[in-house]
Amino acid sequence: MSTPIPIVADTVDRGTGIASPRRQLLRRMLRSRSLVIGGSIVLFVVLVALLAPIIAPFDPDHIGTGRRLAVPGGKFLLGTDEFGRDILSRVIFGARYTLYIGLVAVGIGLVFGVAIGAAAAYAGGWFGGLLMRVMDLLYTFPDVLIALGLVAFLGPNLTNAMIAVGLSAIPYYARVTYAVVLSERQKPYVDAAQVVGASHIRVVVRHLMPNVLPPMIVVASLGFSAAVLSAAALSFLGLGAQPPMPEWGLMLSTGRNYITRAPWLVVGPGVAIFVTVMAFNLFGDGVRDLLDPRQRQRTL
Amino acid sequence: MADVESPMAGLLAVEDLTVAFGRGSSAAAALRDVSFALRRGETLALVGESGSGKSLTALSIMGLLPTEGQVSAGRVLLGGDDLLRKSRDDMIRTRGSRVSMVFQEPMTSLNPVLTIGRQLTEGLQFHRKVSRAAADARALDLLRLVGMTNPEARLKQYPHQLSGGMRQRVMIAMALACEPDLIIADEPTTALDVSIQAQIIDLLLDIKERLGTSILLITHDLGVVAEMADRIAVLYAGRVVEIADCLQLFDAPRHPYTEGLLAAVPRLDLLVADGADRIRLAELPGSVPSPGERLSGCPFAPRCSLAIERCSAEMPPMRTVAEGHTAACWVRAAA
Repeated sequence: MSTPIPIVADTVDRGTGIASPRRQLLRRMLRSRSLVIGGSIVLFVVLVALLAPIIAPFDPDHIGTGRRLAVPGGKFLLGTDEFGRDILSRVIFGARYTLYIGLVAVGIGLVFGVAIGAAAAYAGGWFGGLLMRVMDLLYTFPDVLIALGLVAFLGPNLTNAMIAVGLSAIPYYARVTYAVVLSERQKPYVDAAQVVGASHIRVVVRHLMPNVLPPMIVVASLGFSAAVLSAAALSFLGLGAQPPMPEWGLMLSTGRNYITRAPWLVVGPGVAIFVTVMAFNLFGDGVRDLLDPRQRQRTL
Repeated sequence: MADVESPMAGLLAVEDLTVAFGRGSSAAAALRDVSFALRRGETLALVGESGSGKSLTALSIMGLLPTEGQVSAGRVLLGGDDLLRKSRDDMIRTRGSRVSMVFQEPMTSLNPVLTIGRQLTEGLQFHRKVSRAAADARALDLLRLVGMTNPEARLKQYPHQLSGGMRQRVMIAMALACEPDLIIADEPTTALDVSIQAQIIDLLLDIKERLGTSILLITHDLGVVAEMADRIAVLYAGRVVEIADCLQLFDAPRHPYTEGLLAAVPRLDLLVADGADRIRLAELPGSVPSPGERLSGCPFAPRCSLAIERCSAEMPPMRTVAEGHTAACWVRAAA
C-alpha cells in the first residue's frame, strides 16, 4: 500500500466497432417497411406543400378557371368545383395548411404537455398528483369536444382552430411524459447528477429531457395525424378554415352539397386527408419500432 | 459521546446524527446518534450489514435524503460548516465542489444519452464557470488521471460503449472534477467483477495518495476495507458500535458484533480444505432489528452471546478501550 500502484487500464476496447452505428441505424430504418412507406409519403406531402406554387397547374382561388363542376380528366385532373376552381391545385395548396396545422397543434401540445408532465412527475407529492388529476379529467373528454368548446369560445377561424386542437392534445402529451419521467427519475444517474451539484431544473432539462425525447418523437408523429384529423373536422363543421381557403376539411364540407351530382369534389380532399393521416401513422409506428429495443430482433 | 475527536482535528465530523422516517408516533429512527470523524487525507470505512444505515449516512451528508426521511438531530460539520443548516442553494454549491460521491452501479449511474465528455464537464461548468474549451481540457486530464486508454476518443463516446470498469473510472473522474476534499464511495466495487474490483481499489488508493482526497468508503466487503481503509466505523441497526484503526479492528475487535462480522468472512483455504480443517461459514444467529422496533438497550443484545441484564435495559456509551479505539459494549468495553 505504501508504494504507488500503477494504474492498470481496461484492456477491452469497445470503441471500434465493425459497422459504424450510423450505418447500422440506416440499415435498420430501410428494413422497416412502415417507416419507409410512411416516411416516403410524408416526404412527398412536405415537398408538395413546399413546391405548391410551382407544381400547381392553376391558381387555387381563381374562380372560373374552368367550367363549373367539370368532370375529372383532360385539363383538370381532379375536376373543378362549384365555382370552376381547379380541385388539384386546391388540394396541392391545401397540403400547406394541413402541415401548418399539424406542426402548430403538435407544437403547442408538446411544449405544454411535456412541461406539465415533467413537472408533475419530478415534483411528485400533492402538486404532481393534482396536476395529473386535472389532466386525467380533461383526458376523459374527446379531443374534438374540447377543441369545439375552445373554438366556440375563441371564435371560428383557422388560427383559433389550431390553438384549440393543440390545447386539447395537452393531456395526451402530459400523460406520456409523466410516465416516462416517473421511471427515468428513479434511475441512479439522476442522483449522480445531483451529487456533482446539479440543481433540480438542471436535472430536468439537461438530464431527463434527452431521455424523454425518443418516446416523444413517436407520440408526436402519431399526434400529428390526430391533429390533422381534428383540424379537418373543425373546418368541416365550419369552425376552422373559412372560405375561400383551400383547406381539405373545408373543401369536404362544401363539396358535400354536390356529393350525388359531382362526387369528385369530395374525393380529392378526402383521399388527401386519408393518405396524409395514414402516412404519419405509419411513420410513427415505424419510429416506435425502431426505438423499441424489444422489437430489435424482428427488424434486424 | 465525549470520546469522539474534536471536529477541529479533521475534515468531516458527524455528530449525533439521528435520521427518522415517518412523522409523529409512527416515526422510525433509521440512524441513532451516529458520530464519527474523518481527517484530511484519511480513508474511513463505514461497514455493516444491509439496512444498518451506511448509505443513509452518506445521503444525509450529501443532503439528498429521500423526502420521507428527515434529520431529527445532530450535526454534519465539513471543515467547520454545518451542512445540515445550509440553505438549498448553498448545498447545491457544496455538492460536487467540496463533497462528491461515487455510486455502486456504474452501469446505470451515467446518463445513457449524454457523452462522457459532457457528463464530466458538467460540474466544472456550473461550479467553476469555466469555458467549454477549458472544461474539455480538464476532462481529458481527468480521464488520464483515472487511467483511461485513448481519452480523446472516450470524451465523444456514450456510456453504453464502455465496460463496467471503465464506467466506474468515469464516475470517479466525475467525482474528482472539481477537486472535492471528500469523496463518498458507496460500495464502489460491489457491482464489478473481482479483477476489475482490484483495479478500482488501486485507482482510489492512487488518487488518495496523489491528491490527498479524504474518502468515506461505504461497504460490506471486509476485503475491500482491509485494502483501503485507515480506520473503520462499524454500524449496527443505525448505531455506531465500534471505531478503530484498520489493523486494530481486525486484530482485536472489542464489540461482539464486530467479532461476529469478522468470523463470517469466508476464507477460501478453510472452506475448501479436506478433512478436519474444513469448516462451515460462521453466521450470526437472529436478524437485525427493524427501525420501527424501539429498543431501550443495545440493539445487538438479542443476538449477543455475551449479553447481560444491563444490555437490554440501557444503551452502552462509546468508551475508549485503547488509543484511537472506541466501542459501545457493557461487557467488552466496560470502564
